[in-house]
Amino acid sequence: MLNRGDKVGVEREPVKLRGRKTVWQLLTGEKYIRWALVVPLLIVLAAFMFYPLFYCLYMSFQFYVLRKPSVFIGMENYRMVLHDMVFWLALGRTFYVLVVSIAVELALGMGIALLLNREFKGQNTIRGVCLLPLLISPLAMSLMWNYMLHVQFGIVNQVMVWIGLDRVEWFASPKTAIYCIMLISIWQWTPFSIFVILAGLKGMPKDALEAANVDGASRWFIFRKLTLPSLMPLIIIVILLRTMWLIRIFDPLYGTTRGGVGTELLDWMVYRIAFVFFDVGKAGALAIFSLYITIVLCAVLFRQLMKALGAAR
Amino acid sequence: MRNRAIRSLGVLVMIAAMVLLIGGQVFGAEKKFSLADVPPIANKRPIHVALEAGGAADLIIPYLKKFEDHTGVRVTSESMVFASLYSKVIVELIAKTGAYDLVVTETSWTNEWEDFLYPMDELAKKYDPEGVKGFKEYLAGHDPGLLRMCSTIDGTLMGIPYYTYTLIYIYRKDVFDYPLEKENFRKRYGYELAPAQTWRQLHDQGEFFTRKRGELLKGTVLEKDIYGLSMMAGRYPHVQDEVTARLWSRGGRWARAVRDDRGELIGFKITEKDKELLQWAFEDYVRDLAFAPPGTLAGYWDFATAQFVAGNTIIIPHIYNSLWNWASSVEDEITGAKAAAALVPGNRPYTGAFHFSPSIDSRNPEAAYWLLKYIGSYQNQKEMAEGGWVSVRRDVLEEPQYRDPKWHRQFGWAPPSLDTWDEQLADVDEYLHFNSDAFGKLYEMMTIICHENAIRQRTPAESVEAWVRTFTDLQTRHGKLPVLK
Amino acid sequence: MRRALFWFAVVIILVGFLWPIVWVYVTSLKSVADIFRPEKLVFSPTLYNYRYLVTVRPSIMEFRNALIITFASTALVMAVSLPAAYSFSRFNTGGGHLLFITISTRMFPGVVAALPFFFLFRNMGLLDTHIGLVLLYLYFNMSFATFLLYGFFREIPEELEHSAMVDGYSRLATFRKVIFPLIRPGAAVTTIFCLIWAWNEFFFAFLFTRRVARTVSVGLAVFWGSVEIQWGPMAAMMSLAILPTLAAAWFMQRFIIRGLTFGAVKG
Repeated sequence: MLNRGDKVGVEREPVKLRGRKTVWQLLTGEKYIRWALVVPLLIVLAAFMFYPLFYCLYMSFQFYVLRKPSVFIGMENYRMVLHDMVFWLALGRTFYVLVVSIAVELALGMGIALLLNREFKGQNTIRGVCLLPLLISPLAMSLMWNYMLHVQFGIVNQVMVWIGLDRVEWFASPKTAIYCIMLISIWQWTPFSIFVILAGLKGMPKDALEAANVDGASRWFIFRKLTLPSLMPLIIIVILLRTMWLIRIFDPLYGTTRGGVGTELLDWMVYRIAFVFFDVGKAGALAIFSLYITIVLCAVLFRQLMKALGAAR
Repeated sequence: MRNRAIRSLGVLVMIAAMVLLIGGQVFGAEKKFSLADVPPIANKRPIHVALEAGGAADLIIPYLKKFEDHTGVRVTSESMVFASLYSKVIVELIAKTGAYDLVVTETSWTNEWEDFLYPMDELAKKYDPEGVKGFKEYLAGHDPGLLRMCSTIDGTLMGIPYYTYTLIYIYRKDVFDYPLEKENFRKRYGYELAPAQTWRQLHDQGEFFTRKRGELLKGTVLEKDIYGLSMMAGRYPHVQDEVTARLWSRGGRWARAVRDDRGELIGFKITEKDKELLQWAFEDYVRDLAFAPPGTLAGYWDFATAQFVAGNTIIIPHIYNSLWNWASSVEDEITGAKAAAALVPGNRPYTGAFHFSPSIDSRNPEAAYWLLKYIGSYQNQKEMAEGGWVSVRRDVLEEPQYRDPKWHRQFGWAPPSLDTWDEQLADVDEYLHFNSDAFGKLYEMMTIICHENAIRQRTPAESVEAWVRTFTDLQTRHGKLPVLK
Repeated sequence: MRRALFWFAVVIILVGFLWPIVWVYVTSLKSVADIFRPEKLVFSPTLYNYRYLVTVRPSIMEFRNALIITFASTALVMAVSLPAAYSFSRFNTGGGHLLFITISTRMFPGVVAALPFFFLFRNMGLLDTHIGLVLLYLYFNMSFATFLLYGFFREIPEELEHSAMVDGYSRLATFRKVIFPLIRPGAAVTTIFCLIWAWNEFFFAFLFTRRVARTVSVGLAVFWGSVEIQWGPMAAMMSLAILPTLAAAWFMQRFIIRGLTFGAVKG
């Protein structure tokens, strides 16, 4: 072992002397290291990103359903999707869920973060508990919520009976079902907002706050003029990530309404067309369309984020 | 003297006949195929079986092991969540992975999966020393209607049923037999209280037994509201089966199979009469929902049965026979309660079965064939039925010994199921369920339409329209046979 | 008074977040009959549901598989994301576009990507293998991990690095000796997120495995049949599947406060 190590050392020396570099040195040199570090990522991207994308793009121009040979039909699939009321309803509903969920999550997250942003006994444990919903299997939780919200066997309705209210069939009416889906999602993801905002609050410049306190500014004023602006980049991040994830919301539906009772959201529709109807062409068109919407939305948010981050620097 | 001689001769003949009869039966029983008859299997490659999830389906697992022990071919199984079983299996079948040697097939998927499954006769010809003829004899104990469901439209058998869910009518016999209730019912409706035979009667019974807290049931003051009917109107396939029971009972069809002169299927058609009957079925369904407890609109069999067991409902007018075991446990829960089963009103409820089918890409079709034959065999179905399994074999269910009251809890569901199979036999060939090769997809949409009718998102008339539109669209897009005008 | 109010609010929050999880454990100890009787708060607990997991449909394999897949995929994610995130944050490689592309991989509907992946994996013999799922999770978790780590790297002042390099350290040595210790909490948070998500993923795990590589999240759904949902065994399995995530939560709360800042705050 020692010998071999020596030998490498010996070999390296002359290379450097001659002014030429080994591949390793080239890669770790100032000029190329930035790219060298990204190479593994690029490989994974190249391996996984293009194939499904092009497959869907290709299929979106085909009439291709299970067991029938595929036929080129041009833009027909796109036309079908755009003329499909179900699609527009699903899209509208998805945006509704998006806006309401993110607003509630941020409001709750902000409130709880402000509440927890102080020293108190058992603070670590309590914060740890607040983190839990984020970590639990969304599928398991959707099944559990389905059980808990059950009109007869569910604890929620039981509690309502105990306090003298009527039982509610949460998942039977289009009026309530969609909010139950939101509830599941909000329950699961509020901790994310809490912890992002809490981290932001911890990192706030103390001197500015103290100065404001000394000046006798009201708490609302401090929150509006000081806290909120410095949290802005974080709020944008939460909105960006949650937008991305909520457009793809799927698990809360799987264990509960399965897209029924006026809860068919975009990704569930895609799932149904791809995996129940095996209408691969139409699903491809839908996927491309939905990708387009998501990217446009997120690109706007991403630009805002980059701006806000630049300002924070 | 002569008289006596004749009489003794007669006795002798009778005895001889009885001996022959009994002997024949014993002989016949002995001839029934059992695990011991499975010959040595040449191909020792392990086989993998796709199973449906759930406690009821788990009962089959020990029997796979038995087969493994007897033949030396390893059998592995995989339970799948039912909601995604269809999707998962199709993906595997399209991709021709050959991962599953036997797949669980719902009877209404048979036509759709035709290209992916192995016809049973071919397997029998290849691997069975008794050949196709022997295999046909083996099938004699199965119900011909169910076998038709496991076949494609041209009658090619694609698997052997092993589990059924025929809808039956379960009711509280103690309540029905209570003199005061009987008398009140007769006064109010003008006929005897008995298991409903028409939908009109069911409606009356629903109304009659829906009572508020404080009113009387069997002469006792009720401590809670009770309801007449347990139903399954949630957005699951079951709501569709309930509507179908109404539609079929009046001779209506979701879509009519159209045949040419030679009897060959050439397409489907929804007639005006069908539309009319379908609308009535939707209307009647919504009417009956008035007598179902809160929760019905999102519930299905677990809800319906639990309501019955808890004494909240008096009748489950259409429930799968596989739930009899649970439903009859009302006798343990409520003192004096007695459960009984009868035919669903109109005698034409949905009958479904799961059958195992060998995959065409299986790398050990030989073992798959024998496992199949074993699971569907008389001996095995009998053993499983006694353990609580919902057997599909007529010859098991018809055994007189199971009519004994001591088997009530295991086999109470059997007589109405057998009657249902008899009644429907002539119609099975006509049902869209077992003729369209796009039915896996149609089923999904039927469910949605029936459910949305139940929650009044659409009126019955709109629901009919929605069905006609959806059917035409899906059948044209996914099916082989056309929709005729 | 204010203190009481504070604790009152905390209790409400805790109940809100914890209740469903507690209910999983409560349900897992109930007998079949009690599961349908929510009004019975006091019941005699039974281990029947846990026994079911051992005897009737053994689930040990699923736990083992999930552990292997989760840890292997997370290790790979970190190996790919750490250097990339460093490069993005320090050199602005790709001018933000590459980072956006990385994030955008999660914007494509996964359910549609599943079909082409399935055919691809079949051809490569990766169906129902641990490697197959590991690769998929590498791809899925990479984007968020990179984004999160990008934020953590941004928090580290560049001057630290410069002074280290002036002292004669090479880039790599600087990374090892200066940057890495600083990024460790952030890397820990990221790791846990990846572990959790790989542990919980259902759809691809369901489609891409059968028997050999089947994971816990697939096993959870298996109590849902056509004529029965076995709430009891399902809750029992859930309560076991939650355990590792509980451990993760305990571990995570130490880092999380200075964790999720995405580089927007200079600590």
